[in-house]
Amino acid sequence: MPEAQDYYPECPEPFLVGLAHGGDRGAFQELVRRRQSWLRNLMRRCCGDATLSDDLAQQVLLKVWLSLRSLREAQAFGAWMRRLAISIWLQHLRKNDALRGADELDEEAFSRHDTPGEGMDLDAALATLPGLARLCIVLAYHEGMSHPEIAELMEIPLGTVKSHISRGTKRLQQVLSAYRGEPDAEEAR
Amino acid sequence: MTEDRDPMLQAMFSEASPELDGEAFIADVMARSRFTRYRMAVGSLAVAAILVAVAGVVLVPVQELGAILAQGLTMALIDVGEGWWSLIMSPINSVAGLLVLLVKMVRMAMKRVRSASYA
Repeated sequence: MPEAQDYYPECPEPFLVGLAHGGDRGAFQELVRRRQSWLRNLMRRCCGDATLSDDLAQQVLLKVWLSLRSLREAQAFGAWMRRLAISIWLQHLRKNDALRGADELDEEAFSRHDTPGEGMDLDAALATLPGLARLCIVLAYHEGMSHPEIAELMEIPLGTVKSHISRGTKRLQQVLSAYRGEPDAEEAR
Repeated sequence: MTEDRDPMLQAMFSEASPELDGEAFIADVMARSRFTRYRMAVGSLAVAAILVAVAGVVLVPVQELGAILAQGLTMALIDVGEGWWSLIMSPINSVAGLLVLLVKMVRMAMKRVRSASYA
């Protein structure tokens, strides 16, 4: 006879969130299975390091498990989880003092990441951006969030978000110009 | 400012996010989460036990301090004797009343200073 957990892969997410809310580990495992790839990719874009991003993603998921009871609307699970992920990433940045010099662009970072592959190049290019600018860019391009949404999530002024995204985009365009068939990329490297 | 996104960057972000195989990762998360809630509960119990123990030690001195404070705050400023008149006057005719009045006056003064500086 099939057990209830056998049907979890077919259950809608809010239903699983409700079950996990009540302490159902099977439902939580199914949520982890569904969200792990998105979460790890998000953290990878944020930090550029596969090992560190997986560690941070695990921290996020443990936090989800511990504070799931504070989530009031199961429908908002994705946005709530993203908020937790960003909060943990910002904590990590502060702990490592990576926000210092947030207005300076790291000119040498791209040349330090001389690894082939589009994803690697993107991460290396992102590494040339200061912490907050990088996060704004990731939220805009990876998560598809609007500027006001980013400002609200990061609790910073809208103007600052726009400025970070504008400067960050220009920087990425410059560093990744090889993908456009422009000659700047070789020079940037 | 519009929110136009660079199509090349958008494409790169999309392609750089493949579906990641997560069996080992999921197993890790589940292993770590297994005892997390229990650990939290045990931690909370330990903190509660410490608080109860500390309360047991400091309860009597704190109670005594409270009694002294209550006595001091309800002390009459002007002796009006005992009876119903002293009961009616006690909110004003006490150290606590005086302190409340002082705090109110300081806050009003601060508000005036602030509104004057904005103007």
